[in-house]
Amino acid sequence: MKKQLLFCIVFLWCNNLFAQNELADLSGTFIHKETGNIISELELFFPRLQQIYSCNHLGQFSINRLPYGTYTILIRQEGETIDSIKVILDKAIVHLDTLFLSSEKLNATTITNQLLRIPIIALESATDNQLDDEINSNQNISAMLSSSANKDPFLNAVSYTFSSYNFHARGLRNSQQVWINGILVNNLEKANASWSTWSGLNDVFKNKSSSYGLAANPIYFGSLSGLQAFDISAIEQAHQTRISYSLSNRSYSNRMMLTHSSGLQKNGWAFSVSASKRWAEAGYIEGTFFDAYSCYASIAKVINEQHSISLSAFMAPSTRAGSGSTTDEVYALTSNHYYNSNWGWQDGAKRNAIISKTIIPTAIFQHQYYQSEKTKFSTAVLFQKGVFKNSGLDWYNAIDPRADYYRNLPSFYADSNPFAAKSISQSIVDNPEQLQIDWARLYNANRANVETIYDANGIIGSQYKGRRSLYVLSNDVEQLNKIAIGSNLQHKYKDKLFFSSGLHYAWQQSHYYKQLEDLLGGDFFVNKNMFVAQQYLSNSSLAENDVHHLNRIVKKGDDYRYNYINTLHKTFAWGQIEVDLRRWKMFTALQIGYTTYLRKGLYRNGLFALNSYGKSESINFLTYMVKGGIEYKINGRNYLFTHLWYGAEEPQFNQVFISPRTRNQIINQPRLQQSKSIEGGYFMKSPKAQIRAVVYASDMSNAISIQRFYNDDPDYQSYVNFVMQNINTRQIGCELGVEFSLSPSLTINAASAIGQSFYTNLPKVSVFSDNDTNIQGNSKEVYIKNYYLGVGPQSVYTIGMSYNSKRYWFIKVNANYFDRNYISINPARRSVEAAELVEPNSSLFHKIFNQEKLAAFYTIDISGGKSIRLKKQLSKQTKSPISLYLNIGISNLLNNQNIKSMGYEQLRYDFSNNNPDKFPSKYTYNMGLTYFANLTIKF
Amino acid sequence: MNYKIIPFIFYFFCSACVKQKYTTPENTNETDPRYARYISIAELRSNMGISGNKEITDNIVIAGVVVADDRTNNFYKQIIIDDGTAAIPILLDAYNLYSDFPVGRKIYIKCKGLYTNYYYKLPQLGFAPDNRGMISPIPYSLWKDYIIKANQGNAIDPIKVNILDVIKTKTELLNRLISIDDVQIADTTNSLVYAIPSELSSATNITLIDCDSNSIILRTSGSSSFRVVKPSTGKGKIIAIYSTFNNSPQLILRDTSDIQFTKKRCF
Repeated sequence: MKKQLLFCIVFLWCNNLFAQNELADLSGTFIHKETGNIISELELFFPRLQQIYSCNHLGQFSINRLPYGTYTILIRQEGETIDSIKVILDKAIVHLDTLFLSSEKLNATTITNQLLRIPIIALESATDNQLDDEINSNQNISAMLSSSANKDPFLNAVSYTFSSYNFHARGLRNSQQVWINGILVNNLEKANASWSTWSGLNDVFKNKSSSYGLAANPIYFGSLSGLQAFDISAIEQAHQTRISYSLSNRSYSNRMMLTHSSGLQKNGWAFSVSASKRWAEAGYIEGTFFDAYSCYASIAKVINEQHSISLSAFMAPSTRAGSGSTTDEVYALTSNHYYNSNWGWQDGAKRNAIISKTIIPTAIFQHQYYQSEKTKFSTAVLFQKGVFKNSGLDWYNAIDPRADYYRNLPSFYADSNPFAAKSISQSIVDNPEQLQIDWARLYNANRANVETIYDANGIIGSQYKGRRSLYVLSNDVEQLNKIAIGSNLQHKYKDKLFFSSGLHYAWQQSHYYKQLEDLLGGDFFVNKNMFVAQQYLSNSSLAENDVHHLNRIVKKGDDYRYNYINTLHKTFAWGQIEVDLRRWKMFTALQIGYTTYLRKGLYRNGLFALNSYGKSESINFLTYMVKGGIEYKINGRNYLFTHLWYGAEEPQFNQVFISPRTRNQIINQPRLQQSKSIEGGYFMKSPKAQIRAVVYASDMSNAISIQRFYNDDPDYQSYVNFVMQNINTRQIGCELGVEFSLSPSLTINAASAIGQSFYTNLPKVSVFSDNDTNIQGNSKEVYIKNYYLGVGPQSVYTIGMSYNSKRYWFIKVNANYFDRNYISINPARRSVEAAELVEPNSSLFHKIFNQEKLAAFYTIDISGGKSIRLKKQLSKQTKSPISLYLNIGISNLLNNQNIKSMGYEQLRYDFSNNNPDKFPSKYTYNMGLTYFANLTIKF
Repeated sequence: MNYKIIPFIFYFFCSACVKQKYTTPENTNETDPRYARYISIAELRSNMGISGNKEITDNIVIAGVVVADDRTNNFYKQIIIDDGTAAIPILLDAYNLYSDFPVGRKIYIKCKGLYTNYYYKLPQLGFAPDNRGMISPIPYSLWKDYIIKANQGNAIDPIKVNILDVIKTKTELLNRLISIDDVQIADTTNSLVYAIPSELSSATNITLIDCDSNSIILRTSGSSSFRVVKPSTGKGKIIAIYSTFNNSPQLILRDTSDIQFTKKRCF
């Protein structure tokens, strides 16, 4: 037995972070019942936590900081379950003394009943979906809590049920922190964590802990939206090989996944590799496809009792076609709630104009120093380099190619020419495909447009003649480079005092430019701004996107339109003290940070020649956050708690620079965004029942929003930046989760969240145009106080039942109800000008000002699974026993395709006629019945 | 690890590929579907009556080559087609029509269901009248029901005339592309640019005269992209569309390249 194995449990120290539960340490020793010998190399598998722990060569195990509760622990030898024990953790230190295992148990071949009662695959499949679907980077808190979820009936409902229906926990759209191996991986600029970077690596992104709400996290400070922390080092991957195949009708139709992990070997090394492929020729939404690969490798070495190192690298190159939202009129005309305007036929194939490509290789090196059982120090370095590309149609002085362009729809003619409106309706109903992109028309328009560019490429007298593309397909490109380094220290003193702290620094540089992807039958494009060219006829240099290169001819692969580099530095340090007394538990934590933003323009924009090229001023923010809480233990099963938060955080890069694509101009006096929050609740946990009831209230102030869009208003006719500063909002509500076991097999669960998220002040909106030289925005007050935020349904309920059979299968059914889903408002529509010509309190007046609530709906979800252990003869091929897991999940069983999941008012508004129907709201529909079936072979 | 799974891994990554390459659509810019049965634009004009909106109820097809488009925004929501017998503006409801109907493109128009009328005595072809009683431009979504694109690059020779001819033979030349030699701008001092901006006036008139002092108006839209250009003050040839506003004859320029005032002025 190698010395290193003595401390193979060292690395488990931080794996369980259950924010608002009591934590216990568990230890014990295994002895052979007949011989009295020590049994080494056993593994303890906690199905509820989805975690595996190892014994040392003396048969001893010691697991720190497990949440209180009742656990079934499966004891495994060489990957095979040989016995199980049930443990109740209801005090800080639980020592099991000597545990005897008999010969017949050791090397037994039968699977224990306990294994079958645990819906292992159910957990996996739910997590799978989250990981995969997060590729949208439409992440929210709710989708990422699966680690804690199994222990909390409310979070369970949020993770597996509510999040599928656009629910945002606590009305927060703030991005949750995601840590991997001790490094914060959130994008510094957008604040979100791009889950697409590791999607498809479900097998190895399993070791996860999370915090919800304002509770203390044992390692990190966290955020208002909580945090997730993954540990993906090879040491954490159980020794096994897994091959799985999944079938679905959601974003992809097939998934294959292959993973092999060595586990920690006797020589102290561990390695793990994983690869997957997910694809769909056609996704659920018409005209979409999905093509993604993922790969991961990690190697780790336990150097000695105190030091270990690991290097983990992963990437998930993916290509997917996009879908969008549209108006009720278009849905009705096409009789298709999954209408997608982004595709069109091209020689018999559906071609989608909106293609997202992501490839972000990431490598993390981590060193862990375990000074003693009480003190741990970890340092990690991250390198990330890659590219995001999003394609779309672009055009220059040509007929608008968008398939659902509002001027081509019946409603545009409804008032002026009802006969025309009727004729168009009939024409579309007869042939709905005319509301798709006509690729052949674009190609032929380009081929027919022969032009000569004079003084091409800035060379006086030169001429460039050819087919000048009127339509092109181009990419919005972000080339990302990131380096981050972080350390954290945890120390405990006499099991009463827990101290944690850390220091983190990250540098990120993002190079943004528009790249010509396809000339669509033409020979070239020219780097000019058509809106400006139309407006400023007498000074052609104003229309140049880059006056350093006049009349630049653009070919495939070239950059054009905008080209700039953002550089961001973010440093922060935190510290936390937790005191754990017999009845009381308290904590307080502080984080201080410093953030710097800098833009560097690579083009000198003709309109903004004086402040578009070169470096901007450096924008700096000193940030701070503080939180604290008290928990009172009424007894071992009942707890009361309250937590407080105050934060002053930097606004995002894109909220500071008014129009980063064109210039260095920043908003007027950028300020820190402040947040105040309080939560309090009751938690009950007994062997048969769990209850969680929480109330919360949060106030945000000084928030900034910048929305960028093309404004059809005759006063603008331009891309505009709609800047709203000093926005105040409030989120209040309550959360309830209940789980009750009727029998060892039958469990009932129920959960609900009722919230109110709304604006609380009258901020000012300033509009800055991208296509004129006036850099002063027009300001006006908008009356948005008490309007709801568009954060999905604000009243959600679920009730369900699950049955775990002794015969190795389970089934779970949930009925869900969603209400109070308000669409996002256009603040400019809540201004005096929006209803100047309208009689107060008339129906039109109310139509302009009222906020639309989407219809309430209910759904039923069902899932089930079965585990099979293959016969020993088959298993001989693989040395390890082979297990098969089959799992199926069905969402929206009643196939309700009329559920509007999201809606928003267009930011364009007809101020001339005060007509709210000229630019009607847009919506997306929830998918009908969807399924996910998975078969896994593990050996 | 059992290495027998290596073939499986190989299969796994080669098993399915999502198609992301597309065949380039056929170039139909050179294709003329050659509809045999169509009537001349002159015939269509003769059936228009004297005034008012008139719905075309027969299965009439006309064909013509685009002689003027909206590339320079001097024409608004219309193109003019000519078949050698006559010419007529087609009202179309979109901006940048030249991307589909550039000068030189032949098109066929299935006229049944469309309307003709006179806009201040100028014949036009368009869609059903709107609420104001005016025939409307054909909505983009209905183009495919009425218009068939044929080949492009057809040569158009302007009709060579002089100002006196134009004034005498008003109706025959209406909407046609004509060229007049040896004309010049009458008042060079006032006509600094082709047009003042549309915010000030929808269009600007410039008087052209020949060496015999016969005159005709050149009318340019305040939205045209060449409105800021200063016209040449010399004498020479102009190619333009002959138009009318009530009884006032006027020329409408397609682009400044249609003016070649390179000679010395008459006076």
